[in-house]
Amino acid sequence: MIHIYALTDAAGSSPALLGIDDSPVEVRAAGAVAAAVSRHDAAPEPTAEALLRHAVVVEALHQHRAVLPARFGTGVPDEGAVDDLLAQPGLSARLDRVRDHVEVDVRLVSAETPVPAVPSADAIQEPRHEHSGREHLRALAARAAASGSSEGTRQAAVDAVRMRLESLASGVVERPPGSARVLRHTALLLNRPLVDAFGRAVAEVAAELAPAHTVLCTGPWPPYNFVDDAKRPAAAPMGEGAR
Amino acid sequence: MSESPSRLETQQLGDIGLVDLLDRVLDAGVVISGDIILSLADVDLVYLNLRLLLGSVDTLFPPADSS
Repeated sequence: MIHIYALTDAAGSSPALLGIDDSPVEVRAAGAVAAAVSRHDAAPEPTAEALLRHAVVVEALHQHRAVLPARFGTGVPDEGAVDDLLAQPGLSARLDRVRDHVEVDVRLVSAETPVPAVPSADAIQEPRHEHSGREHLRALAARAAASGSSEGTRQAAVDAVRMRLESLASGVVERPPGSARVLRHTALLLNRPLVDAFGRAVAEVAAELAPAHTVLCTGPWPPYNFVDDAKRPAAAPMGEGAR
Repeated sequence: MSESPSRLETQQLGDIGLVDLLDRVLDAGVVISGDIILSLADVDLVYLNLRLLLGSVDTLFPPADSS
């Protein structure tokens, strides 16, 4: 079978690359587009070494060409299937969209676990006597006040990330937060020349939001999350991203 | 991208970077359909196991009120 690393330009230089199991990476062209592939007796197992090699090959190609990375685990049976893949309409336009761009990953993480805005059923149960009832109501009021304040702070942090970081991007894809403390998790498509300025903006925003929030940024990556316009969700309107 | 991360922070960011790499290699990118071999079911299981092994933001950055 043929393992696919990425779809890319037919033109352009790239170094000789060794792929999974040290198989040579071939760039098979059809017209203006090409696929970076390697040949195997069977579908490669998703070992740590294979996953890393796949990522390294995509990264090396990305240094020299526009790439649409393929998800690991995707392969085709023969060269004819590669050619069919390259014949799909709109491939050149998709490559043009990510050309000279990189992807960065941005997480806005709250230092605190969010407090539920609505008291739980346990919290509003009937007090047993007057004294404990007053204390209970005071505690509820304090908790509500703290929750409202935290919510405002979280929303302000989300808005800062959107206005000052995401506004620099050519594309925004929301990613699963993976935790209640992650207020916003996005993949951003950045024009390469903007990467340094983006890094400075991240440092500034992170310094302003600390210590209540942390801005985690990784990359630059090949544009894994920008391979298909049709599946790209639009960025949410301002003010709706906080949890 | 902090300017002077501590050793611990660097380690944590390294772990986050590995999670993000796996997120991309296994959970993003071009997915091809049609008369084409897909082995994604097995990969998804491996991906889940790797995510559990690597942990999440909560384990890499414990909440302030739990430390």
